[in-house]
Amino acid sequence: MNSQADTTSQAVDTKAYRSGTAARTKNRVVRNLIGLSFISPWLIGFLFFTIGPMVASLYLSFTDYDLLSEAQWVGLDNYVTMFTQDPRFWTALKVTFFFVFVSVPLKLGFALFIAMLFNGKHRGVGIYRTVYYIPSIIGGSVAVAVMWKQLFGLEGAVNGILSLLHIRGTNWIADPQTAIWTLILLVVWQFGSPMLIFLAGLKQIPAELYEAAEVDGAGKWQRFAQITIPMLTPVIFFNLVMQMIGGFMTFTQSFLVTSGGPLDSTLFYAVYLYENAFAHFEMGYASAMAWILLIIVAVFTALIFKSSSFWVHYESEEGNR
Amino acid sequence: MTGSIRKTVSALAASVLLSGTVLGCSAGGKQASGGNAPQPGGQQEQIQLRVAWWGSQDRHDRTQKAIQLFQEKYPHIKVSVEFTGFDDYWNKLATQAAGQNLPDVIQMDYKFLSEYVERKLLAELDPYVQSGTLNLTDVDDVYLDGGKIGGKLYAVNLGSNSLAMAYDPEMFQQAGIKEPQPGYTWEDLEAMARELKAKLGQDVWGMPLANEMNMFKHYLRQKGLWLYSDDGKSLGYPDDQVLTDFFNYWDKLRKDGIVPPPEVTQNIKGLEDELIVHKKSPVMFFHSNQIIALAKAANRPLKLTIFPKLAGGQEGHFIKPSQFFSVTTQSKQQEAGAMFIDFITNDLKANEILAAERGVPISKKVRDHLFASLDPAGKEMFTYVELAQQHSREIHPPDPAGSTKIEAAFKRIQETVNYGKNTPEQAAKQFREEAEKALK
Repeated sequence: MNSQADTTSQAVDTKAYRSGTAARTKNRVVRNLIGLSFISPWLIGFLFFTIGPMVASLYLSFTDYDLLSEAQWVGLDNYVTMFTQDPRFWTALKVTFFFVFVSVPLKLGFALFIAMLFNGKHRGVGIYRTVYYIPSIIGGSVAVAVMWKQLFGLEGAVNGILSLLHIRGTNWIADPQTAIWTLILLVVWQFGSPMLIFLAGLKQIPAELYEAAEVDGAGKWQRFAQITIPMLTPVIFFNLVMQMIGGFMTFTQSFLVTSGGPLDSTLFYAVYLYENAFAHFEMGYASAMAWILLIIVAVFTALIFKSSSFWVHYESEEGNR
Repeated sequence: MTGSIRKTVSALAASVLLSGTVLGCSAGGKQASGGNAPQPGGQQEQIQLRVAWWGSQDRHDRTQKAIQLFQEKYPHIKVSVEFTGFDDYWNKLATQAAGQNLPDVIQMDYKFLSEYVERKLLAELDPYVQSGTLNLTDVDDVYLDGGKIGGKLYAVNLGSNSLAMAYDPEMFQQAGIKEPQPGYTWEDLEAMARELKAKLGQDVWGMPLANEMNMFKHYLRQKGLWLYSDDGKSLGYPDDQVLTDFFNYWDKLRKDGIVPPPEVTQNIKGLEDELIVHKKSPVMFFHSNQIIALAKAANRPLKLTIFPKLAGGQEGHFIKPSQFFSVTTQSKQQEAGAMFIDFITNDLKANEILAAERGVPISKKVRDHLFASLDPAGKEMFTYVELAQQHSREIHPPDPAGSTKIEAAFKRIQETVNYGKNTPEQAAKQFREEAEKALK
């Protein structure tokens, strides 16, 4: 009876329904395309300059490639050689680990200390902030490296000052015991970026907390340990991850100031990688080293993330452990 | 209406960004390009020639002036220059080679010649010699042999030199010690260094700690040996004692405080920093062509003499092509490159500017023309190379593949000995292990 009409109207309804979905899908596709086209510069850059080279590097890590002739497949040879026949690989790892686990805490500690100093409202604090940020901008440059070499050389300014105190200084750069410390110092000197982030974090701590604590009779150190640090843990977490990743990748400072020496005491992983790639023309081996570094950094980052649930306190997560 | 305004604005923004990227790309690039467009009026088409070399600031200045002369002589060729220090040069070249982006003319060193020829990166120059574009009629064959592989010419010698010991005659006089005469032995050298140290005081060293590869190679030659075997697959000297003795000689002097430890010399990065320049040492071991820049830096006359002899041994010296110019196979202007090399080799005015800073020129005409006008350092270098020739024998064969690794390993091991972390015996053994691994 109404079946015909029903079917037709149903058909009409279905058509309308379908055309609705189709229109919505088409709309969505068009919107996605517009969005993609706006991010296309970044996307193309990402594909060609990040993903592409990463894939190429992964492939190359299984080859023997000297830049000037064809890459030859050698399977896992590079990795095996690295772990079993290359004592300098282990040296590089040792040096890099030492550097990261000493310089990162020092740098963050210093950054936090300076940030707290600059958290006040005294006159000129803005200028101080700017001035103390400058080293981290120019720190990775050749000019600073040359200056650092001069400062810590045998006839450098540091020894000049020491001689005023009647202490005879050595060539800090050329002594295998002290060379790494000059680099740690150089890196810690560039504390500007984590300092600014700490500063931002400090400013976010509500003043009432401090006031309430003062009222309760908490001393300066107690306030620091019980309020500042816990409230800052997200920022510490961020800085820790970023600085650690950067620390593992440190190259310029060692390459320019000590060239990985003396006696490989500053043979950072990245410097050794560079040496294999560009001095010995062993791109395949260097690519394998790069991927091992990626894995190491990923593991440590994951460890820090996993541990964060134990010590990082987010304001928004009430009742979270 | 907001929708269409927004659309217009974003379209405008996108087109500005796009055109900015395109313009930015074309404006990039350091050298002002001359372009390859043919000139109006039927002239020769403009050629853009890229030339690369390494060296000191002195060499950069001289070479650029000579290039200006070249451009005046050949107005249709525009030269763009790329120069660096020695350490960075080879890394840069390797990267450029991989990117098919090598310059047209590159300065080449004997150490890397066979590697680059093997990888087919250098063009054969014989066709240009035969056609007369590259005129080598005033050049003795002996100066060209270093640039030949398999009988074919791949690189033109820019100047000959030999290992030399520079010394400051005034400091010797001050110490009351006679200047070394050719024929003095290693023992004489040691005695001389000890006396110099004793007489010249606390701040001065007897001589530099020179237990580096060049010195070792010289010592090997004096023993009738060579670093590499004939097939290049293993070390050429069978007994580690040779290297142990070599390291021992210098280690003794270091322990006795006659030669400076590495802490003192670590920061030396260029000729200007060398001990002799600052009167901290009366002698220096180097290549004879560097005397020009060294005398300039030291600002006083220095003299040259040969290395010490091994009692009962062979001649260690050889006449080395200090460096070459080669034309790369990746170049699209190989003939222009050959013309450039011809100019540098033969043009008298250009060589007056270059003043033999790269070594004694190979063309007899140029040598004769230059000698009279050279400054004392230059004259010293010319006369020295003649002296060295009398105490030389044939040059060693080019280094095999893997030699860069071996030189790096030697440097590292040498360092461990100089820091007292390794005994000479241990070091010699370690070097053999690493070298054999690298040559496999």
